[in-house]
Amino acid sequence: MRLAADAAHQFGGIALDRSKPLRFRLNGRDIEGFVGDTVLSATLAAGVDTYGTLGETPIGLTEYFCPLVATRGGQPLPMDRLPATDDLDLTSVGARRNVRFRAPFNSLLHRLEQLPDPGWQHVAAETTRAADLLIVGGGIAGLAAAEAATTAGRSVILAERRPWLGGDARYFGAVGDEESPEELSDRLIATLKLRDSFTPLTRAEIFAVHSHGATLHQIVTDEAAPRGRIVTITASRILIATGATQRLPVFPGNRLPGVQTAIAAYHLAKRYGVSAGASAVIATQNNYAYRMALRLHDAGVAIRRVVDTRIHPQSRFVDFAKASGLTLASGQFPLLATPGQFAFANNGSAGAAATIEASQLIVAGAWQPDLALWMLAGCNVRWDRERSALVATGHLGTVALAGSAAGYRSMLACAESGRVAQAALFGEPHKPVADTEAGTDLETPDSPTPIAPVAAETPSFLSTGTSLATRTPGADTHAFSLGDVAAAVELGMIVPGDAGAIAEERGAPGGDLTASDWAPPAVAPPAGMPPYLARRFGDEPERLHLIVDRHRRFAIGALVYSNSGKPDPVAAIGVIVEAAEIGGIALIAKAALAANDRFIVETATGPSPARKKPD
Amino acid sequence: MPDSYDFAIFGSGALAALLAGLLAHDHGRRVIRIAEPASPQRLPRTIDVALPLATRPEAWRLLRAAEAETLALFAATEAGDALMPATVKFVADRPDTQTALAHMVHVALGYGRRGRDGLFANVPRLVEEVSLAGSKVVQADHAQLEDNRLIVAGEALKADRIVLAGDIAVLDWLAEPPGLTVMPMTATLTAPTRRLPATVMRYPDRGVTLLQRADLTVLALVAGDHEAEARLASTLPGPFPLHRRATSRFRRLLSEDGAPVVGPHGQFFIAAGFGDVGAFFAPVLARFLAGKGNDDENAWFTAHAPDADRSAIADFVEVRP
Repeated sequence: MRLAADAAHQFGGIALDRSKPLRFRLNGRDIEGFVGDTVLSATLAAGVDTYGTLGETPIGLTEYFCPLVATRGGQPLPMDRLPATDDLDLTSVGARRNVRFRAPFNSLLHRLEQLPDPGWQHVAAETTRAADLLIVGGGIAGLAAAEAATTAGRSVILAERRPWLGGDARYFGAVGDEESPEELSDRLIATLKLRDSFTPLTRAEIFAVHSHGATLHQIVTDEAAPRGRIVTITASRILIATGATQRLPVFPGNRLPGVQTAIAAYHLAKRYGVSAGASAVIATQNNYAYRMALRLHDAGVAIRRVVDTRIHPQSRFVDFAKASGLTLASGQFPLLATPGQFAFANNGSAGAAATIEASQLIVAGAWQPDLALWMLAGCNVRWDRERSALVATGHLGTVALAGSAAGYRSMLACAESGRVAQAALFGEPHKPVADTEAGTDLETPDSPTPIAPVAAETPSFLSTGTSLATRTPGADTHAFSLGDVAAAVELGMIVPGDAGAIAEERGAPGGDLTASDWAPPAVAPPAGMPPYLARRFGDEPERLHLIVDRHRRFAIGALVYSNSGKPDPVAAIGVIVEAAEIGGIALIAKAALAANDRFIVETATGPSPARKKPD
Repeated sequence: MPDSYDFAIFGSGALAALLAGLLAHDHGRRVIRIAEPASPQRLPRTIDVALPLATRPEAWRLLRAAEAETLALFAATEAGDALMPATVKFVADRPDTQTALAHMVHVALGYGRRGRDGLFANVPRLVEEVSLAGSKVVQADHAQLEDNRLIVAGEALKADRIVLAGDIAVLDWLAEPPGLTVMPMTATLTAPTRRLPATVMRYPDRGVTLLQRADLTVLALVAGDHEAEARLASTLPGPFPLHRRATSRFRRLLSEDGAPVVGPHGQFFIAAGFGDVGAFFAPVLARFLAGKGNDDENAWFTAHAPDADRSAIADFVEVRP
């Protein structure tokens, strides 16, 4: 549903021009939206909240898990990056269930057992761009790094997957008298817009990192119709500022339609004025979700309850929530989600303490630095017990991390880390980054991401992404994301010491394999007797041409015995080592020759008598 | 934790686990096994299958006897499902490899393992990790060595014999393992492919071993770095492009003369260079270490010691890419 255009906190959608409605078709269905929508946001606003089913389990449609869409004969494009435009006639890509009479109105009806690969890495680059520095990620850290680098006279290309710059910082809001995230990002963007040495590429997803740059897929929007293109970026330095991903609490039903992370719900409302329903329950382990609850409440969404795993958490946001009359519960975690109904249990219990009906469940977990590109660049990660997250290790002279991807928490530290990291990449002196969050000493710290007991027939997924990995033991062929690995460590499925290696194995497996006609180069066989026959038949075995009749040939390797008893290869006196027109050339122990002139050759079809071929 | 042991077994693979279990339970020895805990999500580094490209009859006789013991052991411990029959196919490209394969086929046939066109059926394959939970074996994650004493969790322990069982344990403790060459390896898990001719495909001239799983994904172990992707792709049936789901790098020890290296070396007893077949040698190795080996077994292990005259045991040496 759409929130009111004038909803509080700009939850009417800052990206939308409500004066310009539009209409397009998706899978034969009319979808209405506004200029500024993505195909995904308009589709969600139209009430389509289900990607499809995995087995019998419906899976929600989200920014992190949505299909490619294509016009007839057109390129598949990701619907979260594709701008909605009038008269598009789109079909979602991938296997779909047979559309039946009265098929679910809210689903794209895909079968999710096997997801289509966009195949970008097999498409030739349309263009190449060059810069001194490639920055990946257009959040506060990336923007600050770009501002500092261009000030220092460097050319910068900044690639951002989403359609906008600014990242996730505004979800957290301003701290005290500090500049707000909106003000800081708007100021940096305004500065950068005036600089010719700065090239922003939005709707651009990096999918390969190489020694001097990267390759990305971008949706071009400045032509008659949006289209995708592959761009190769050449840059001597790469700064990865890809932020962090909000972890999904692990409980049965955590990927059902209507369940989403707080950061996803925030961007949907803030950018596009979309809410997954008129009411919500918020489940959290941190303080910022209360801020989100308050904003949704102010924007007209009925907040049924805010449930916190922590016991009696202290926070200014908690106080604001209480003052606003929100119902709060502490010491509980999400136990089970079913459509429109969400059960919660007291910590340490497996029984439901409360069941709440609402349109949506908004969940907030811990933050996992997004280090996927860091690993693709050949760098390493390890499990940090204290932070309960995978963090970066290793070092590459031409690749650096900044912002929350590097583990920084406060907005100012993220910005400073961007400036410092770009300076370090170019060998300039730089100071350490101080990372302090003002006022947090009076607030209850985050608790670990909640984990609920297993429920029969309702899977618990490990993350929000495309791997669809569950906590099912033995499911080891999944492409584990960083979020999956982090959850699996906390579930005891992965030994902490293995977490980094598993993340790297699954997170940076290398590009697709292409067909190869590779064949071993021809080499001359070693002269003389192969070492594996050495001293097997004495020190000086003799070569002997053995035959049985005028036709039969003996295969190489056939063992030669002195009698017809039960053959034991250890007791063989020789072996056929060379093919011949009839019989075969054998290597025979010298001692055995003196005692035998008749032999048994043990062939694949049974024993055969043999004798020395007459001279 | 007791402070004195007959054996300290280092090693995270099936050989080390079986060896420790057999020494403790069948031979009544006091055993501590030191191995870092492993997660099942890690890509495997071996495909434990009882079919070496070995041509020496003595090795095959030992292997076949040990294989039968291993099967019986797993059946007796109600872990029979951990061993599954597999089809294994060798594909030799070079003439000298084809010749070696022909010798191997006939020796294997002499011990009841029949192969046709390089294809062998019903070869035991270890499909599950060997667990020592609930066994008499004391287990530890890490240990240090100081003056021939083991330091485990800060406590000094005495072990009469320290066994490095498997390539990784040897690599962890010996900078220059005797008679062994370090080979960089890559393990890759692919998306589902077309069906392979056999569950396990071995391409000795390409340095590639493939294992096709029930879901048609393929686990590939590739030796060496040179043209590794091209060599791997040359063994796969497609469809291409073929997605790689996971990749990891590790090291393996290859015996310089093609025969395993088993025996005393300094303060250690080492067992390495078995390729994918090491687990199936565990019963005879345990018997040998316990001093209960028969004459044939004792002779085989004596001949395979690192400092022995190994000219009579040299076996086929696969191409080193």
